[in-house]
Amino acid sequence: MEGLLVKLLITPVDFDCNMNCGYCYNGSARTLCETPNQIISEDTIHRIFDQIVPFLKGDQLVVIWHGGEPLLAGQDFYREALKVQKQAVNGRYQVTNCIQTNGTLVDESWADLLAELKIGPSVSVDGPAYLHNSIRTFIDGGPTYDLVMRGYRLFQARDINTGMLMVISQNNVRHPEEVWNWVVEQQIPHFDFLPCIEPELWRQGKQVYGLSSEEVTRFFIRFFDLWFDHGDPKIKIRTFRDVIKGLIGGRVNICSWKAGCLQHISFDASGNAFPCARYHSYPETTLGDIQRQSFSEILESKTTKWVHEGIAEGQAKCSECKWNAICGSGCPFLKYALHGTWSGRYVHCQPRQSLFNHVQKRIFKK
Amino acid sequence: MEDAVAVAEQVEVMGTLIDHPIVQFYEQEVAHEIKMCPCDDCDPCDYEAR
Repeated sequence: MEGLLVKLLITPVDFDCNMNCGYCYNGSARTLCETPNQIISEDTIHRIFDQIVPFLKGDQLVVIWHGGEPLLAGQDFYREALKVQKQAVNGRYQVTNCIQTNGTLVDESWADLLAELKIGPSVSVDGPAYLHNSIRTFIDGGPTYDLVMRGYRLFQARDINTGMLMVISQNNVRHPEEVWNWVVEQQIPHFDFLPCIEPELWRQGKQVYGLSSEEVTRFFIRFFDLWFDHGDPKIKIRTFRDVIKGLIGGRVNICSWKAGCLQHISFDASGNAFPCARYHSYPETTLGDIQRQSFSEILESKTTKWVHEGIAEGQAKCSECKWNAICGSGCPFLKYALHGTWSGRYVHCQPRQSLFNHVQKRIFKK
Repeated sequence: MEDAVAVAEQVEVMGTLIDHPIVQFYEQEVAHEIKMCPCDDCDPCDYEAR
């Protein structure tokens, strides 16, 4: 089992959040899991890092702090957690820390801290204020855009390499031009999209904010054309980067394009291990408990075997597809969340095929 | 020149790339990845984890 892991995800406050976004899957997840909101203990952080180090692949590790809103854990938590991490790694591995934040809590001291600890942030923004504020609100319904963008600018002012993640939902899917113009006006250099899917409602055919394949396809192709016709390589869109690089023989980086979860492990605030943070609301996929088991026992558990074999079988179903080398058969989590098995069809299969065909036509001579 | 040849071999099956700043940017990035790969025959996609 040595040399297995390349990425570690931790949700230090589980699903706890100071916002209440319309499409958030975490609201229902909290009920499903009945997990009490809490901050992960120092002892659990120790156990995680001490236990996983012998199982790292190569000489690098990516750690992603996720949520909920991970800044709710507080500044002292991150100072201590990175100390523990440093001791466990003991100079043998190069660690890259990232954090996915809604940005509303970021002030000068948070920005200073992330710069000092070299934690790379990604901020969640859904486009211009009128689109963002209509769905990404505080718990009391108040707007968040100004605070989010203040946080983003504080990171930029410190030359922190900051990403941006936009959820594409019914709220903004018909506004690719407005979103693109906003990207240019705001000089956003690096971002990506996350098409909204509401698993429970999808199964019932009653999505509220989630998108159909046709809507995802239309948005992706229109946005690609806007970006490509603008022609500035300094604006980097992760999905489009991977499509172009994949088509010209390069490597893809996004986990959902290569079943990256086979090399990931994710821990909730109680120390439960999952294949990815998105499974935290699916208790049957709990691989083990780092407080009660060694990491070796977790990797050898029946659930780990079941999950990994299921993901591999799901991938094998796409082996005849001409796009398989680029697509990697899609995000295993979404297959499981929608179909209850990893063998179901990836929900964004058609949008991806349409995008591959479109980009191929645009970047190669006829 | 070797980088360009390496990329050209990869995309041969697809055809010829257009002359475009974004395409050129990623062409160079892929060439760099191939050049950085420590062995001759590995899958560049596998390099990330090394």
